[in-house]
Amino acid sequence: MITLGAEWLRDRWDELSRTGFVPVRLSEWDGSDAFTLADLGPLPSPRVVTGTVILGVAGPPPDSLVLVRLVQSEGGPAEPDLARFAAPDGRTYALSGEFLGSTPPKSLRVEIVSVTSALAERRLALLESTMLGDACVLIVGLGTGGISVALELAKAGVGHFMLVDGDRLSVGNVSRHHAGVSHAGRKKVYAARDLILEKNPAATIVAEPQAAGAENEDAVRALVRRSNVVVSAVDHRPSKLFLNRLCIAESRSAVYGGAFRRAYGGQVLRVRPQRSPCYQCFVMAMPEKDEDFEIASERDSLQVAYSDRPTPIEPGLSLDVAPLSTMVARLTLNELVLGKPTPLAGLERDFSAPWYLWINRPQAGTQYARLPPLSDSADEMTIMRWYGIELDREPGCPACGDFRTAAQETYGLTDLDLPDLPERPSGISDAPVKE
Amino acid sequence: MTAGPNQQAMIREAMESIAQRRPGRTRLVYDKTRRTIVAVSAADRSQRGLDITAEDAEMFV
Repeated sequence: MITLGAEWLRDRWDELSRTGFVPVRLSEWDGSDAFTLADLGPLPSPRVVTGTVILGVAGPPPDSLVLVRLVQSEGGPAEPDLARFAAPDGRTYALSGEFLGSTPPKSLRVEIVSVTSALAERRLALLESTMLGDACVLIVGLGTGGISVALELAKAGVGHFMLVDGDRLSVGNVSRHHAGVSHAGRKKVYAARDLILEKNPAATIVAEPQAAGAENEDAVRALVRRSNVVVSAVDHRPSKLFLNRLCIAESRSAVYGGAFRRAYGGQVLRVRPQRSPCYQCFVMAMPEKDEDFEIASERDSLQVAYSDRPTPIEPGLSLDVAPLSTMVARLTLNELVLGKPTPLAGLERDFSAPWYLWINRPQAGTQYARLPPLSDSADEMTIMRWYGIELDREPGCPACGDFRTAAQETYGLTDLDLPDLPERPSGISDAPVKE
Repeated sequence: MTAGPNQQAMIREAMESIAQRRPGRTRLVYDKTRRTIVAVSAADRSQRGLDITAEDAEMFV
């Protein structure tokens, strides 16, 4: 089997018509069983060979291992099994292929595929081919969760990605991450870029290999401003709060995903600035808790090193993170299709809550330890189901509410006591707004 | 494998039983005062504490 891109061949049609042949780089797979245009995606086979596309019946150049021949199609019974190519000159050509590295040469079927159209085919009637081509998503954090969200959005046809993460992919990451051991040591944003392009070669990608934080606030703010939706897939609270503040300031919807210890469950929060509780509101509503946060990175482990022994990274199955990243991708997609003519826009009614909870297993020692079995619990909370939860905004939220007034009322202060606090953001009502 | 008439009747009965529970008529609401998630019945506005305390999820590796 030989697979070429129709776009690639059309771009070279003038040269092919003029000279009679064009060279082509092909990924060789599985002992010469398949050859794929090496430029089709960013991750070709380790073995790339030279082939030639020939128009007509001329012989191949001496260094060519693979031959693709186009002969004007007669449409007769002599060529019933040959694929055909509708060329820019208005004619149809029958396609045949050969691998010349064996004796005798091996005949191969040729497919010339319009990549953009073929990728969009499976989405037809749900997402028309160009619907998300202009959409731009900023994803901060390209670990297990972030890369899964990115790939789902790429498969749905999102055309523009901005990726921010300063970490490198370790071998240990690979048990949960989409990127395999061949990518170990790479910055996660670059591995993610290549995986996205494997799914959507037409996507444009900005990869920023740095952590999102106060030290690069202006750069991150610029990315937030350019995006339609922001996905937070980072692993600790300060980063989420930082991102939340920028998204509120720039009026960008954001989706925050997170897993509990060892991914026994997790939750997803969707924030629509001024219309639903923001991540800061969410944190303010949480009970006070000790610093028993998840140890998910070297940075976290160093912060809570209780002894001189190495602190283990929390284990957890990719399988248990997958529902959470799927929900993040779903809510992100919902934001991107708001107001667009697609049946998916109807999901707005179903996803009316801002906060979603998922439990993978009745983890011992947690409040979910005694959940009933799935088989007898239509009315009870169980594992493996999504629960949407209503939550009100915090009127005195320092990120999206009137913190100045709230502080004055709570502590009996005057404006003179609070000279450096920002004025109330515009568009904020006095009453708590429920989505 | 095809279910027999008895199995089909049992499946139908089970499905009807589930449908009669009218899922979706109970909303989950976070009660900030009690700091728990409560189930609120749409019919009689009654609240039922689920003893589910919200907690932040930090990890997304």
